[in-house]
Amino acid sequence: MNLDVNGKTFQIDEDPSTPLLYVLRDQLQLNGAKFGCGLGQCGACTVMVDGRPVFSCITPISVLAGRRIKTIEGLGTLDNPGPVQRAFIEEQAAQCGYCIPGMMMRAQALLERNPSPSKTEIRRHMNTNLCRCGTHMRILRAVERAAGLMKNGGPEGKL
Amino acid sequence: MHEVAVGPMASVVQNLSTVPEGEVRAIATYIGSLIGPPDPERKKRAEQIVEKARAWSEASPEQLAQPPKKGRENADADVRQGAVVYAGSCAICHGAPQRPPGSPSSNALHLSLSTSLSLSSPDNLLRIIVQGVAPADGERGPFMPGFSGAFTDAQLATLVSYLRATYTDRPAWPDVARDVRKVRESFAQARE
Repeated sequence: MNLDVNGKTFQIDEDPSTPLLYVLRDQLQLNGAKFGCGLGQCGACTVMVDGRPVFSCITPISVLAGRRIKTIEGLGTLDNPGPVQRAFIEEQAAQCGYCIPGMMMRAQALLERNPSPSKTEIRRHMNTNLCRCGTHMRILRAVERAAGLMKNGGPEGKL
Repeated sequence: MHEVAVGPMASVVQNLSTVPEGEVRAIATYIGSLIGPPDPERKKRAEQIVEKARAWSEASPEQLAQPPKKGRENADADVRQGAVVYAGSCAICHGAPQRPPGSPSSNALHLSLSTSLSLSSPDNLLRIIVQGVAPADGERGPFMPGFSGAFTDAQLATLVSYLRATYTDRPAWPDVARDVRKVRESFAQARE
């Protein structure tokens, strides 16, 4: 089957019940999304499918034919980080950093749908993603900052 | 108890957990008196469910990992596709309920005991799959992730058709596609 990841098409030859996360990391070397709990309870594996946040550890590739998958690697590069990435850097939102790719993808999905979320909407939306270092307050500030950056440059962050 | 309380009933069950058991039994007796005595067929079914629950509590992890009624899952193309979705999304928790005590999925409901699968419409089941299950802010409680963004309407329909065919003796739901649209619309309205 074919998977559309970050705008590129990849031919995948795996069992259809294989979780997307394993294909991203093991076949496509897209190692941004992380394995945390494997149960959809921590959010470290979050990616976007058709603009919505999903847990890639419990999303089988069988449901992804013809759908647009976006991972943290699709948000920007080291030299040219996207607005969500810039905001997380500027707020120093990462401590160990393991949860951060998932946090950024969940935030990106929110901001593409709702460019001006309230603090309550941000909290409610980010609720499913856990950070064991306890940097949630900085993460919430980073999402607010990202909303501001996007307003100036659009969701893809071209300033 | 064959279901996890969600939505507006969650806080009711949460509150009743702090009430003396005798009073909860009195409420159950009162509600039972309104419903009236069960007919023989219903009574038999209830006894079968109790028997199933007992067998489940004594089953080995290997037995628990197998869905019952193998073979019925090959009924039609929808059900077969649903089986793949189940394997990739649900089985990690629901297919192996005897995890070490205290692990995050150790209390995942065994689906052959789920009331939602035996109702005359799949609405409750769809709501749980789409929205997930979460305790109120600051409370402890069962958790299940929602699959709203993961599945298309057609994929949701195949999944619930598979679950109905595999875990119950009931006939297939007649118009699952319509039920999926209805539940999706109700969530879209709730967000506005």
